[in-house]
Amino acid sequence: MIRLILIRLLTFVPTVIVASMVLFVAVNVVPGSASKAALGIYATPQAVKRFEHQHGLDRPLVIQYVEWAGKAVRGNFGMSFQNAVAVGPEVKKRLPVTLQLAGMAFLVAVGLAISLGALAGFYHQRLPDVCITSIATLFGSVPNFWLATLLIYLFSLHLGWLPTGGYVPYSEDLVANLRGMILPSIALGVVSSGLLIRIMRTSLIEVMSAHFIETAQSKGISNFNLVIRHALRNALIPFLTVSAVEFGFLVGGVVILEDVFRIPGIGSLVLVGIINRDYPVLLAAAMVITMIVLVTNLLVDLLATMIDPRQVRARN
Amino acid sequence: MSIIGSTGGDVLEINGLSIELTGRGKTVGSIVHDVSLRIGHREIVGLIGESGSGKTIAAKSLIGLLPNRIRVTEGTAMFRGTDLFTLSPKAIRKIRGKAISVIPQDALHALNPVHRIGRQVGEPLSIHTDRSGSAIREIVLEYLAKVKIDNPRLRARQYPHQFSGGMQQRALTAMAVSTEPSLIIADEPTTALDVTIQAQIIALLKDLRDGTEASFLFISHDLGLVSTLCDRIYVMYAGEIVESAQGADIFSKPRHPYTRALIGSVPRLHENPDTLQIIAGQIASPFEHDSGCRFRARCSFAEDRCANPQPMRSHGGIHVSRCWIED
Repeated sequence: MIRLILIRLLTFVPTVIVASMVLFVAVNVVPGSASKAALGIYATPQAVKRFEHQHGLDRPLVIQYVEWAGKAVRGNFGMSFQNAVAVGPEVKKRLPVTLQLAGMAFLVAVGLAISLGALAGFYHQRLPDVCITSIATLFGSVPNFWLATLLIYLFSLHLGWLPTGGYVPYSEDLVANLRGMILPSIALGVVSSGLLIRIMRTSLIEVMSAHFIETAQSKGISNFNLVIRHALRNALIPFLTVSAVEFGFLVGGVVILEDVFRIPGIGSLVLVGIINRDYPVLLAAAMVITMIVLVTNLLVDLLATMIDPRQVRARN
Repeated sequence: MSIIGSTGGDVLEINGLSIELTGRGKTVGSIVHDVSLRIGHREIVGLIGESGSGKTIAAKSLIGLLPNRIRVTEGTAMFRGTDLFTLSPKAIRKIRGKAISVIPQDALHALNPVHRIGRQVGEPLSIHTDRSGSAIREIVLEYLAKVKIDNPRLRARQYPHQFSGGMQQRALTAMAVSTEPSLIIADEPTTALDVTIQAQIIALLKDLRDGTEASFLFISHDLGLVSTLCDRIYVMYAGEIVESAQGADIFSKPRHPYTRALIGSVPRLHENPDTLQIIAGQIASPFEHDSGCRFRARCSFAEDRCANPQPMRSHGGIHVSRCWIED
């Protein structure tokens, strides 16, 4: 098991490097320039030149990347073009906010998917399955910001149960913190659960037709224990892999929802970075999000391996 | 070898069992028709027939595990004084795995890959008894040793993929006998295994039969295998019993053309393998049966009268067959 983790960590490093390169190039080829965004469209050519020279933007991209990466490894993400604030500390401050939101939303998505998906799979082609499959299609096709608006209207404005937005650090007031996080994580999680419910359903249907399920039935096991003890754990193995991929999409949704709910996380930083063509901010925020997705993928992969005894042995 | 009629009462007595495939509330096909079968105390009864003859479905109906849309439409199955077909799903679940256990076919896929062998073997005991976890563990080790698995303490902690096919079948056998059932349904227990391992499993089953109070219903398509093991044999074709007799008689004095053809299609060591007999055609579809003999389309002795319903004819003792040919 330890060797397995080490091997995974070794492949993790090149993945991060490649991801950072792609990110760096992508940010720099985006139409619109940092100087125009910072100085306004009426800036003189001399001012633009000075700005670009000042921030090293007139040098070859490779050199820019190497310099950026060298500093980033040490946690230095440079200064914002807009207001000359150090980006590193800002990202660090916002990271726990986004981690909490993404984590809670992922729990909502996975929780819904496992329970509803297993139910639908067990009642394959019967009423619960038809209902749940329709609900899953609905969940998966709704835009998260639209659902967010709907939830705010219903639970905040109409019923007054939860705040419309804003963020309270959990170190200050845990209850207020959680109350503020409920709606955004539901909006994010529900939309992600659409696909995951279907994956769980299909996975469980496949497991239920396996021969060992019949063996378990012939022991006189109850239906509940049949699903919980014999089917679910096997169905989780493919499900977890897909859920890691879905987590990437979910984090993408964070960018929008942080704006909708006025949550000061990494996502809203990305938005600011794009609008202002503030490369240091955009790069740092996007890189942190990439890292969150990659680390989650790694953890989910390890979890899936632990659930399946065949993989633990085969890879050791 | 045979103890037919010697002990009081049968463990299982199936009478006139018919199983049909239904669709939209209507019967669309006959899978098992008018099957009667008895299993005496500590008897091994063989049920043989080719794939699709309905033997596994007939066995599954006993423990309430028929697939969707397949239903018992007629008949009774008296097991220790109660008709299994009248029991509620909950009541049959209490019998399943305890009084009637199953040694499944395809040993290589019959165990759950994510659970340890010991836990799976002990599961019937934990479902049906109040014994503590450690007591069950001791019983599991005892039965693993009984089915000749070396170092049971280590083996019980392993997973199915660490077991060979033969070992997996031994573990499944231990699981089936651990609750001391009255009836064990062995559903083609050797199909997925190679020949030398098959012989070991058969030897193991013989050993177990001598050591328990259980009766066996042994389902197979392998006539040779069944004839050495079974006290009595039922031959099934397209959902009907076409012949039944004491074990050795089926091989030495087959009466029904299907049984003869089945014996003829077993390759023999000293004959030219090019002349291997096959039974022409395919087994009839459940949607096409009429009231006549179901084998007549493939039978070389078929005549017009085969289209009439064929009653069982006695050939002395318990030997009966569903054909006019020996009249």
